[in-house]
Amino acid sequence: MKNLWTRSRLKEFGVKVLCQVFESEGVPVNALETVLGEIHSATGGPEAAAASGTALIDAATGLTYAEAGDCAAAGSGHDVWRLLALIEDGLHRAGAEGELESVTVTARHTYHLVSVLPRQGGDPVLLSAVLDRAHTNPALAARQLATAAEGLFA
Amino acid sequence: MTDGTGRREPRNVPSLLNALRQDGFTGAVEVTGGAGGTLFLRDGLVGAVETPAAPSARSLLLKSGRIGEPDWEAALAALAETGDLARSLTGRGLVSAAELHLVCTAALYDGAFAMALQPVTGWRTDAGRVPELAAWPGQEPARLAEETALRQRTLREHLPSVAEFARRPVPPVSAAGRAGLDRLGARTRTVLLRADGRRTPRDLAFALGRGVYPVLLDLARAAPGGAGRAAEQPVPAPLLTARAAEPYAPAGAPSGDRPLPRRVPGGSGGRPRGRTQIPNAGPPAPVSGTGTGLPEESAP
Amino acid sequence: MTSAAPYEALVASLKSLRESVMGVNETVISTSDGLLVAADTATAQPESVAALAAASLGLGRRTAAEVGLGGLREVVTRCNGGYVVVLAVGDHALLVILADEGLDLAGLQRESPATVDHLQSLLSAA
Repeated sequence: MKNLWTRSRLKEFGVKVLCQVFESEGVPVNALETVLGEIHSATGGPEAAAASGTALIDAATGLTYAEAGDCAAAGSGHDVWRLLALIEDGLHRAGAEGELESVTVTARHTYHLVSVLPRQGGDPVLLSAVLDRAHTNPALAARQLATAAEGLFA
Repeated sequence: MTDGTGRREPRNVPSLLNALRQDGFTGAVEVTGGAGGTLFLRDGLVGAVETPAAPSARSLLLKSGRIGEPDWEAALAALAETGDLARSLTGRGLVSAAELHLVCTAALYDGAFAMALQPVTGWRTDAGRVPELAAWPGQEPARLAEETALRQRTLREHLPSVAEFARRPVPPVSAAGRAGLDRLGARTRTVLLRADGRRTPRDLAFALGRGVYPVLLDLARAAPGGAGRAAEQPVPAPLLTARAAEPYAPAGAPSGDRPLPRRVPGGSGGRPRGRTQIPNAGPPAPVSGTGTGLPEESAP
Repeated sequence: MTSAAPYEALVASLKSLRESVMGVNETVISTSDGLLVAADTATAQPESVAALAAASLGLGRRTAAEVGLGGLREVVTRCNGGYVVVLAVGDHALLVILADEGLDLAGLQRESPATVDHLQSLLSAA
């Protein structure tokens, strides 16, 4: 209840400011959940459907840092991590250079987008989003997510 | 640790944390055994874990170069005004609150995992202590235990004994093994190249400013047999010789007699001249599992 | 103990300290006037460490005597990335411990007296 109130107040600010005032209300709010909520709601609009679920996952360990909406279709953070690790291993074994940037899984009804967000001086983070396939332009949604996530780890 | 309500004494750390969650405990839980460590709770939720067994949030931020030393010093100096290191860091724009929360959360889970690799001998609570940095509102103890168990299960897919592997120095990559490094990701490569036959995975984690679990995972997956690598295609030379592939020798094998690559004395008695070199020995063979009976807790 | 054994025994003792206390990375034994006796190091220059540690231990002793707070127990240099701990081994030698910032201080306090005793007996036997 208190959290909701704080978050609605916080919504008036930009993401960066959000990060800094999250504790000044006296109610501790998970800063990552707040920011992920912003990213989550950044999808959608006339051209691309809203994500039904968005999650921030540690790319090295599969630990889920935050979730917004319903992420069940994407599996647990650990499942997403395994998927990415499998693809990454395969690519490296095949001699591919460089690091994986994103993966799109197309299922009958959904798209599952996973972007690798690099962090300065740390292991990357995975931004995972599940989108309704019938109403989504996956390229546009990926772009929206990337834009929303920009500066997240500044 | 006694509680006046007549409930039973918790059997292990996870059940202790569950009990403290029910009580809405705020304060520190100091755990002894192995290197020990301290869990910090607010309303029974775990916000930070500090232990010699894993890098703290501070180590992760500083060693990785995320925050420079002068900036860190300045933030510490400003503590008198802000009264809170996290606010001091975010207020100066050194790190965003989201990033800080992420690093603290990663350190918390890593600390809990690393502490669980060693047997716990006891604990006591201290309501007065607060952590240097924390990820409030904190994590549910049940989720912490679940994640720790999941990490151990994941490692066990590649390693016969996680606790054993974690205690051992990591042998350096052999000259032939270097050729196979190209097939690994950059992060894994960095870990393997820092291995010198002296550092344990924990030491490597501290040296690199990464978590113990990610380092262990990288090592385990790069080991022959790890990630199905050996089965699918022959790597030019094993990167981590036989550690995971060979069975452990029974206890009592000459573990102490098998020297690690070691400095050679420059001259006995007299004054050693110049720096002595570590002989470029191959990776040491697996040594006896003197600690095979080591309890491997499935949760912190 | 044969005459060749003490050096090996010293290094074995250093190695055992490194393995039993989390965070201990490198160790050096030096005479109290700064001459290297034995080392278990990877990247540190043992000769330099020996000389500097002897100087800091001497300074610590003089400071302790000057301020009258009792005898010196150890000299601890705390850096942003770790610790340098210098312990006297009897009157004629010292032990330097280089450790990372995760050093298990309680563990070191538990283990180091026995190590120092052992080193002292090895050195006096040599």
